[in-house]
Amino acid sequence: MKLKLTKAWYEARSEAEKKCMDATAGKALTSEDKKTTSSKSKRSSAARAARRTPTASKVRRAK
Amino acid sequence: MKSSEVLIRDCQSQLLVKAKLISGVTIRQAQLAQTFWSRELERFLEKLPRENWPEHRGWNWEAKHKKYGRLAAYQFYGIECQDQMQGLLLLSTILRTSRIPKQKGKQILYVVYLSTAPWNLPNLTDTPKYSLVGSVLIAAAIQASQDEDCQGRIGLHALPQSEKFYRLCGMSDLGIDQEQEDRLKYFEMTKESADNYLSGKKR
Repeated sequence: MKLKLTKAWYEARSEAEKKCMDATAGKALTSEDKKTTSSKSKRSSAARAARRTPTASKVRRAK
Repeated sequence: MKSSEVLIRDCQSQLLVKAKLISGVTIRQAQLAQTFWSRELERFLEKLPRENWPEHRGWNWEAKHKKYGRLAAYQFYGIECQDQMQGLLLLSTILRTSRIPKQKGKQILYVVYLSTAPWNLPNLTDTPKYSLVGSVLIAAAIQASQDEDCQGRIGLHALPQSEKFYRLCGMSDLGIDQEQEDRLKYFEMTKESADNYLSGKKR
């Protein structure tokens, strides 16, 4: 394989990769975001657990 | 194993440095890369929150080489610099055709796996060692496609963290592939975008 890439190519791709890196950095969560995400997941897992676990009144009714 | 000279960028000095593009990576090279990469990856993961972990952290290049290395329809490429593998690519030459309606029936090469060493990943470290590794590997895939008379056409399924990179390479986003196990987005490079990519034209 003969891959011939010019200096201009390397410069152009460096610029494109930089854009990509900036986008990645922008996506990184701030500490505030992390708090929200973690509390959201805690809330949803609590909701899931509540759906799975029958309440005492439901158990009584079923009996 | 054949090798040719390419350049990658040293992120610290910002200079372009010489590297080797290897076609026909050996099992020994894949084993060594895997050993170094997994050790470094573990070190990085210890310090990172789980949501920032790379999606391809479970890839094992030694296992991939054992699975595909002896099959004629698969080719391994690597970029080596300072005696260390900086990135690896697995290409498939099994007959596949374009999914772009206007390119229907035209043959493409398929990028099975592509990754760079953990120390080059900006989502793992604020001070990556080298950049341009992924870009050069994509150029190698396009060149291989041209060598196989596929006119530079390549296709791949991208992990969500890499979608932006492939868009910036000029690949067309064909949306989520419903038939693919992991429901990943499918991307394709047309002949025109491949020509643009190799010539370094800005999009």
